[in-house]
Amino acid sequence: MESLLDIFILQQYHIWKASFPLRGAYLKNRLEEIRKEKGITQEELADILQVTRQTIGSLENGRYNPSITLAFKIARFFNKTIEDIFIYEEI
Amino acid sequence: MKKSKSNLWIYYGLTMIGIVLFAIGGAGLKLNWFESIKAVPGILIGIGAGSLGFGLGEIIKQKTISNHPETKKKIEIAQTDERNLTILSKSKTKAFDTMGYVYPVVMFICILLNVEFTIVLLLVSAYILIYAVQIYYFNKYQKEM
Repeated sequence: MESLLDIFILQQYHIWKASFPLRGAYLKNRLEEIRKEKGITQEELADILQVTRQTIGSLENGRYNPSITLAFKIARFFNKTIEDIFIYEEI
Repeated sequence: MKKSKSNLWIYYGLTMIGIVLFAIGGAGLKLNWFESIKAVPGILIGIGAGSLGFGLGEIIKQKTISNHPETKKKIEIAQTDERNLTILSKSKTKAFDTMGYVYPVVMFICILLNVEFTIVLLLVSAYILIYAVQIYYFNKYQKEM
């Protein structure tokens, strides 16, 4: 059972956290993992999606965020939803 | 395929025009055809050499590519790849911003060097025109997007 102090500290923590404005958001993805599960190379995936191999590499490293069209193409190819592959996180 | 063939004729035409302009320019320079305007042969040679080089280059490129369909496909993908287009757009933005700083410096140097007023005016109007184009496209895209 939580003590009153715990509840108080937790409440204060949430107030403190809420006082910070949203610092930013970033997009992570599981593309490399899902691609390897399917057993295809970056080159093959690039050919299927009609993009360069460098684009696939940059996507996997998180250096480049895809357009919504490319995100849909990727999701459709792997038979998954966009949220299954791309994870949006707020800091 | 049909499209690239019709494109090739444009480059053949450009090469021919280039050769003709180059020849007229060269002959004009040698035989003094353009005595009244001395810059004409130089301009003709310049435009001729430019279109000859561009046309010939494109013909060689397209002929080489047509023998290697895989390379052709790769080039097409590289040209339409969204990351490449983003990089191109970003680098153009940086270059435009740089130009925004370089141009006034050049204008200032021209003024300090007592360059003719019309040339300074030409530079200023080019500077204003470029920013007018930017404002035009900014408004256009605001409406479209």
